[in-house]
Amino acid sequence: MFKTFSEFSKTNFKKIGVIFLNKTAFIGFIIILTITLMGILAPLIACDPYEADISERLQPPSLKHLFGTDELGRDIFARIAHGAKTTLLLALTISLLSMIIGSIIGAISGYYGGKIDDLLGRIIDTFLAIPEFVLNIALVGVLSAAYSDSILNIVVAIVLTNWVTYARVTRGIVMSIKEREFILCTKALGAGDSWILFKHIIPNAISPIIVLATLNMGSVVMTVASLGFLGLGIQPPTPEWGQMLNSGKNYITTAPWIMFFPGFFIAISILGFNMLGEGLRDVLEKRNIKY
Amino acid sequence: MIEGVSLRKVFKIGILGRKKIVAVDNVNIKIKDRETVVLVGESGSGKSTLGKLLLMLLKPDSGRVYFKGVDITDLNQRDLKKFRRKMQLIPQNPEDALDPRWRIYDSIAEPLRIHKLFDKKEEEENRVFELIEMVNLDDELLNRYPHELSGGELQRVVIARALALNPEFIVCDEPTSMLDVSTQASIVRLLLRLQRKFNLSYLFITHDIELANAIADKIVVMHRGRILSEAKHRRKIIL
Amino acid sequence: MSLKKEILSIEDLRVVFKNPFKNVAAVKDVDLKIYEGEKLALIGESGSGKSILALSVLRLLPKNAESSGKIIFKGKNLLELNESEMREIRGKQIALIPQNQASLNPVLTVGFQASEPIFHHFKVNKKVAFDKILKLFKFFKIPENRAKEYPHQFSGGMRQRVLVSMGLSTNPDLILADEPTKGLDFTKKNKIIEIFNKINKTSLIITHDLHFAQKISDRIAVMYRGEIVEISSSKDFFCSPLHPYSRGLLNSLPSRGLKPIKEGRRKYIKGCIFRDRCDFSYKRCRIKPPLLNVNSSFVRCWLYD
Repeated sequence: MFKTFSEFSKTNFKKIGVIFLNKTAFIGFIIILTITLMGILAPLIACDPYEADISERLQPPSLKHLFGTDELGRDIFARIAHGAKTTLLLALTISLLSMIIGSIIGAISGYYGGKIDDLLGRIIDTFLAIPEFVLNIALVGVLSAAYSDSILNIVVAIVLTNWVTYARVTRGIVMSIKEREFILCTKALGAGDSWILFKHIIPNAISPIIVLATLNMGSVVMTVASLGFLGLGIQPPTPEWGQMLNSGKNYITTAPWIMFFPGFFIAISILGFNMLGEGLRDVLEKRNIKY
Repeated sequence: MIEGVSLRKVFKIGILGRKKIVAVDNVNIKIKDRETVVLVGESGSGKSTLGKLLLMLLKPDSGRVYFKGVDITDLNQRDLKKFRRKMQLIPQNPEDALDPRWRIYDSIAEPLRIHKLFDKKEEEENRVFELIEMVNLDDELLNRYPHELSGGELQRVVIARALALNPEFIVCDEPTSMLDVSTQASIVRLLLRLQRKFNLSYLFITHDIELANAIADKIVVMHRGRILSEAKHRRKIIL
Repeated sequence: MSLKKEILSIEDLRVVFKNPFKNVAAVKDVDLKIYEGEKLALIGESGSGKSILALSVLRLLPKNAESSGKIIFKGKNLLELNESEMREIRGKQIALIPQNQASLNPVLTVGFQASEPIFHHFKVNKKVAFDKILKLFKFFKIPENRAKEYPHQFSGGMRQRVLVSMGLSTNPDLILADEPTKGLDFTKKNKIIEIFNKINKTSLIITHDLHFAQKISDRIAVMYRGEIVEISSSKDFFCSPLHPYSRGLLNSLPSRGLKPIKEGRRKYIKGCIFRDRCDFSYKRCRIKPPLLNVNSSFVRCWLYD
């Protein structure tokens, strides 16, 4: 019977193939891959991002300084590359954490319904009623007064507002899966709640949640950069795109490259995550349709 | 075999349950051993709800359900699990009755795993093969996913899964209404054959009067949550 | 029969779906004529390509479908028309009555919706169109004062009648009805039979419900795996079906013994497509039979050669 292993792996390869047939997903994937490689290989391909050389300040892009230098004479390419690592790691951590917290709360709320759902639903609504970014700023402000670790503060602040999106979406997905006939059948077979939740509902909900997480990575990159721009994010001298954008704004007429490159990378990484997410959605959702 | 006494189920819909719909209203129904009771009625007449009440998939608002003389109405989840092995459901839409992410093998083996019937993988595998043969399916299908199978094949898989625990009573909730005529004929014949082999009792829900005529030992007509008529019948199809 | 004028003539139609991994032919070598005034029921199991055939007449197939052959409607080959010419024909000359009763827009009144095709195609003002639709509503016994209500206020049967009057509103030459009885119970089915018997227009009715086909049609075409295997008059078909598949279908009805057709392989087969499930197949069936003329019927089977 298990001659079919080869068959099984064949279909799986086909699925992966489909992802790359989708142009949007492929372009997004390439963009993200490039930026990730840049972040990982930063120590090898770029010089020290902290090394300031006043004699070389505000140099335009050249062979020596690929993206030019900033107001302290630091190499912008090096700072972008090292900043990529910070930004992507932050985006990944924040998305994963909010995904785990949000999905579990959403799944419980959607599956059990009733009073638990009423309570959790109200909490979700409360969070949704407050503009997310304003809440972020407030939370970072409060947290930075108490704790000095700026990275931890950002993660906690963004996760605290971001989980709501996951909870809301997961709740909806779980509620619709719960009504499907195979859940009723499993109940008739004698399965308990945890069996149904962990063996049927969560595996079926996972692919739209992954799509959401990919799309969400883009907006987290945006939030991190915005906080950085306002000076509430990662504190200098650690390189971070948003904060670089801020320091370049005084030189926008004389040395526009200081602002251009961080801005360009913020935009392109958000674009990359969005394209990958959209493409994944096309591929993953098509699989549920019979054709 | 199974008996429902003055069952009643009301669904509340709308804000704060303002609107009440009486789905099943004071229904008495009794299904004897090895009997096929066909429940006919329009859509919305409460026939599916009655089936679910008998299986205790819904809790009745009032009334009792007796399985072989034992009152199972107020049992908790753990005690009910023992009775679940003896009564099963075959739902209407085979395309939605199996988890789309599970292979057919796993779906059929699921009831065995829920009730922890076998410790060894081999025993489980043997049982699954036995089941798949019982419903005349090719064991090559076991490694596929539900969307790769036709409606008739899926319904056979669902039947195999329902039989895994050696049940005595099965509610067939319009099992053939989504299938083509020729597939319907083979599925119904399969159900009748299995009934004779394993001494099953069926509550067969349908809106097709001709089908009811062909297979029923007793025809119960439901309308707006109530039983209109109940009559003994002689089945036309004899295997 | 053959003296009658033909309205639609499908010749050698083939529809192929192009997929990244393989191409699938959903409709193969279909020849079908519909004569003026008749009701032709196209029956077949799910996946036999009957809906695809209807959609290809209206050229409403998805983009990856490619149709070849001819679909001649009033002397014009529909497959060669451009999109704007096609739009003139859709709804005005060939109307589709959709399967789903949810096809009505929930935020528009039924009267307005049903009159939409009239002012769309004849450029009359809304009032005239609305008056026209009221006449049709009267014919189908929908009370006039309910024309200003919304779809959710209507029962299923009434919504079906609205859809039918909407299809008839432009006085089309041909009506296509896609599975009008799917998923309905017997009382609703009887109401639909009543409605369809009231329509006296040339129509092509797609259904898998043999009982329904018998009640409403003059002629019956049977489709199996994308090919038409038999075309007979309704009476002949239910008394003495020709093709082994038609016989199998009728015998599997609960009222006729509930005898299923033998299971077959699912893969593509050369020659007669029913060969693997047929009790009568013999050597000759490895070659594909043509549509043979037997009395006034057509059948694709070597038994009648």
